[in-house]
Amino acid sequence: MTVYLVDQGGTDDFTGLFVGHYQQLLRLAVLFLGDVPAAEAVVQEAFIRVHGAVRRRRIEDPVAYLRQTVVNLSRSDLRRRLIARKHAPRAMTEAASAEDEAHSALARYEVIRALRSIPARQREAVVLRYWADLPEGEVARLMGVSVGTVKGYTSRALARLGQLLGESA
Amino acid sequence: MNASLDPDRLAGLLEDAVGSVRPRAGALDSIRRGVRRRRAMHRAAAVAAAVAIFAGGAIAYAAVHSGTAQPAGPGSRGTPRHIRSASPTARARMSAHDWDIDGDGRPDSARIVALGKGDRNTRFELVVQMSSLGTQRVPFTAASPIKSPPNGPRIAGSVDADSDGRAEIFVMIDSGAATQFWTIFKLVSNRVTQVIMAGRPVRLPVGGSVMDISGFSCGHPRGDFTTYGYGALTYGARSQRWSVGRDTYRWEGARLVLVSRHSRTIRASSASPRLAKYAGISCGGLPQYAPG
Repeated sequence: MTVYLVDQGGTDDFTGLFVGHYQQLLRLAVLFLGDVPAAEAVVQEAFIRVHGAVRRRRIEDPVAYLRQTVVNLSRSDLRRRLIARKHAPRAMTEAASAEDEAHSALARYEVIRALRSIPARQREAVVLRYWADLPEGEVARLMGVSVGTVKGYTSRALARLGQLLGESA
Repeated sequence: MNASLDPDRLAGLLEDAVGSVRPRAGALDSIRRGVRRRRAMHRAAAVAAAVAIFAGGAIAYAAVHSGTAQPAGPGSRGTPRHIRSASPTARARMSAHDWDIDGDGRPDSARIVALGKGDRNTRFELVVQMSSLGTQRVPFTAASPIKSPPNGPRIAGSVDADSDGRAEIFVMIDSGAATQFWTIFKLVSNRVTQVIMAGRPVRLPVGGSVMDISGFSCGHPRGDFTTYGYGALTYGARSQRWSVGRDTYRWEGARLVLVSRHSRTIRASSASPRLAKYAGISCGGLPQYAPG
């Protein structure tokens, strides 16, 4: 289905896309990044980009476009924060303290702490596969790897999460 | 004995953890403001491009802004896989010293050469061709093309950032999440050198998204260099509180030495001009970064 997003005021397609998918994408980004403000920034940026993209060309599946953008931006954001942590001026350090508050709300959940401790690629794979319930082929496409690699990531992630969460056989 | 976590159990635990995460009030408005800002940035970039073209610098401008790819030809094993070059930019925005890297009054040029192969290569070389000092090569590391789409590092421009009559070269070396990182190359004692900040090759954050923005300015009377940025402390529909910061540096050879640091917290809407002065690039003819 080809979807055109036109800003016409009222209940346009863009608003429909936001209402239908923003919350789920926000939660997806939270699972990737481990904090809400950063996830909001990533998802809002993804919506801004999808809006720009449809003005330039047709998008067959805007939800897939959004999901892919959230995956890419989350990955970039993690990398950027690693760099920013080394080089940020004091102002950015203060901004991070606000993120810490959001961290603490989520950190109540043992699974979030465990998820943050496994490699980012494994985290992406299990979240997309089991929480977002996407087929392995779609996860592989989103991550830019083969289906076999996805299977490897999810297998190792489940084993590690089992250890971390003390799951008994 | 510990075993693998059951996938269904993991899905349930994750749902419990994020089930209470809901969109903030005003999120859609925030996105619409972002769309408007992005349109304005693209319009400004388009106007700048049009001015440049009419000024007769069309080819050079395209090289600076998009990078020209020159795939290696047959039998070119061992030669750089791709080369991006830049030369004097459009006259409309140029000062007398833009692209005059060696300060002899004549324009020079530079290009980027990949030292390794493949999309995961992180080793590059800046090849600078100067009218009075000939060609010099400076190796540097940058995010690979696959991590910094579409083509990895590229030259953003060359302006006299320290008011010494010689132009510095600004190169985008990393990008992601609507932020780019730029580094600087500078002629010191007749050698082109990558500028050092806080003991490391400089990485200036440029641009950003809804929650944080960074930028820099140059060309102050004493040749100082300033980086600035803001980040959201609280970001709600009714109240937005920001941490803003500005660091001023002095040039010492190839080093940028911190002179003063200023930061404070302000309350303002994300569209406020009070925040705008902590964003963007104000440095001669360097282009504003407009994320895709």
